[in-house]
Amino acid sequence: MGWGGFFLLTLFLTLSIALSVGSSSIPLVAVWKTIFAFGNNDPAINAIIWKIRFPRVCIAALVGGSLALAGVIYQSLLRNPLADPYILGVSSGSAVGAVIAITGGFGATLLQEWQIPIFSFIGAVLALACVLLLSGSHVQVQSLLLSGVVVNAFFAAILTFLLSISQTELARIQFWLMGSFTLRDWDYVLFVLPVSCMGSIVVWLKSTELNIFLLGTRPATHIGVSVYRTRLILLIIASLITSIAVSVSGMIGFVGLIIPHFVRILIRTSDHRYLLPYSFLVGAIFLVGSDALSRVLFEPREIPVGVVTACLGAPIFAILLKKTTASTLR
Amino acid sequence: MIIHAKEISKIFGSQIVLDSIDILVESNEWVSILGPNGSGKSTLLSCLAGSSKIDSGKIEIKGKDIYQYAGKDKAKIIAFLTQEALPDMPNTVEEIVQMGRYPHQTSRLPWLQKQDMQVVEEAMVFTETISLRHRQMSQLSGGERQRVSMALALAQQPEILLLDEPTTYLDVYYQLAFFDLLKKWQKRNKTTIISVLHDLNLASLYSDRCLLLRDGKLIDAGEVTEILTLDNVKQTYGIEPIILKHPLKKVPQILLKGESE
Repeated sequence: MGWGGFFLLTLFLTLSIALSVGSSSIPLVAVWKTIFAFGNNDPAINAIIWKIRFPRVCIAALVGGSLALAGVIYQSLLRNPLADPYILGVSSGSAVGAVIAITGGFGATLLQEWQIPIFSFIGAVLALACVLLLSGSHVQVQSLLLSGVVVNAFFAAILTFLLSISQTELARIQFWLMGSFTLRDWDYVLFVLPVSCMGSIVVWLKSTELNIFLLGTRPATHIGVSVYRTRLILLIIASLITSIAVSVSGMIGFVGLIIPHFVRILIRTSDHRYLLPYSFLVGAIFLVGSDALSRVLFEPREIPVGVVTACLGAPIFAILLKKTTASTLR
Repeated sequence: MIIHAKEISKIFGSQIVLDSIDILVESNEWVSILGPNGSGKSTLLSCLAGSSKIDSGKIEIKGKDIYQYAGKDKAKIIAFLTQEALPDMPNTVEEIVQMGRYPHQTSRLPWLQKQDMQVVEEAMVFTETISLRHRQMSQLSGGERQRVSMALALAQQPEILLLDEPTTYLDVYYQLAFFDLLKKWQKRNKTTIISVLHDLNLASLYSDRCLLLRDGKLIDAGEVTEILTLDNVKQTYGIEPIILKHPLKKVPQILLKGESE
């Protein structure tokens, strides 16, 4: 069956369980009946699954997959095992965008529920543009990382400033910053799906180049890879995928950093042809599971999904790390 | 004539690294670039690879300006082998040698075609790395790593192979084995080889022609026997060795005098 089949099966089971748990528990068989549309079903169950839980679970899967995939790309391009999708300022940029949207309420009547996602997406793209402009035309690893630090610091300062002057919306902002999938409907899925899927496919077609980058910049040039152009394209796609994910879910940490390492250790290769799709699948599994837990752990209260990803992921990863040698990292 | 460099110059800041150098290289030749540290030989090589820009002059590869080639097209003609071993990476030897097929890949999908796999196989058999194919780079010795680098370069099926002191970190056994393999490959595939070497004796044994560089200027160029003379070595390296004729190969060999009295 191989890892691919195993991950797909696990994803299916996790999705099913995530659809079945919640404020009113639905048996697994009823879940399958509903989503595969066979047999007669309770219209109430139909409504809960199709209107409420399924879009939410789909968004969690897409965001988890996107963040993990982006994490792989950042770690490979920046040759840094500590790189994650937020390292180039995308996160703080989108946070500033979201907070401006929440506190200022610009265009709220026109954009309605899309106001926060659109503002945070614009913020993320702005931050990325700043990083790329600062780092210059050669897209060197060192200057990229440093520009990321600078831009992150600048946007974090703006964020703190905005938080300090807005008293009324603090709770709402806090909840957005910690990440959440509450009240996401199918429109959100349609918002994320095209960018996430097309980006993933384009990136996967560049697997060979990503593999060759492991040799280093000069050897890659001698093999015929146009290093700077490819690196720029991959960075932009990874950042767009991250931006769109963050704009609908807030800042969910840990997935983009840990899942790529987790998958590398599991499948024992750094071949991006496998690493990219498998990371997408495992990221989706992880975030769907974490979101389900965040809903049921302290029912009826919902806790931020970022809390679950860190509390769940850190111990699992620690055990795995202990069992393998440091040489398999990177 | 496969490489034609016309009056190429390269300047770093105020320092002239290469001073209007002319080079003609015929197909299937082995040319060695010799000279002391800082004479500009590695710079010259990376200019010939097209990875450093020259400030004036022109380099033609097969009659076409080197900077007119697209990356992939150039990599089909020129492969580059450096003294630095490949970095520690988690990939297997086979995966690394497969990267050499990148310029020849026509499919958009990230998988190699059958004929490409065949070339990779041959490159690994030729360099005796086939038994290491499933090992990771970090598990290999220095000599094994350099053979993997060679397999990677040969998998490109280059018409021109550029070597930048490829045996610096190898012991004398591996140095000879390495050059023997390259010579064999050259005879079989009519490859043109240009090497930057420190070891004058190895250069004399394996290359057809030599270029002597000093301070970015071409001192002399020609057949090994004409170039490796007492005068030339004294002028470029500033040493006074003893030069003998190799009893079997009839090429000059250099003996160092040791401590001067």
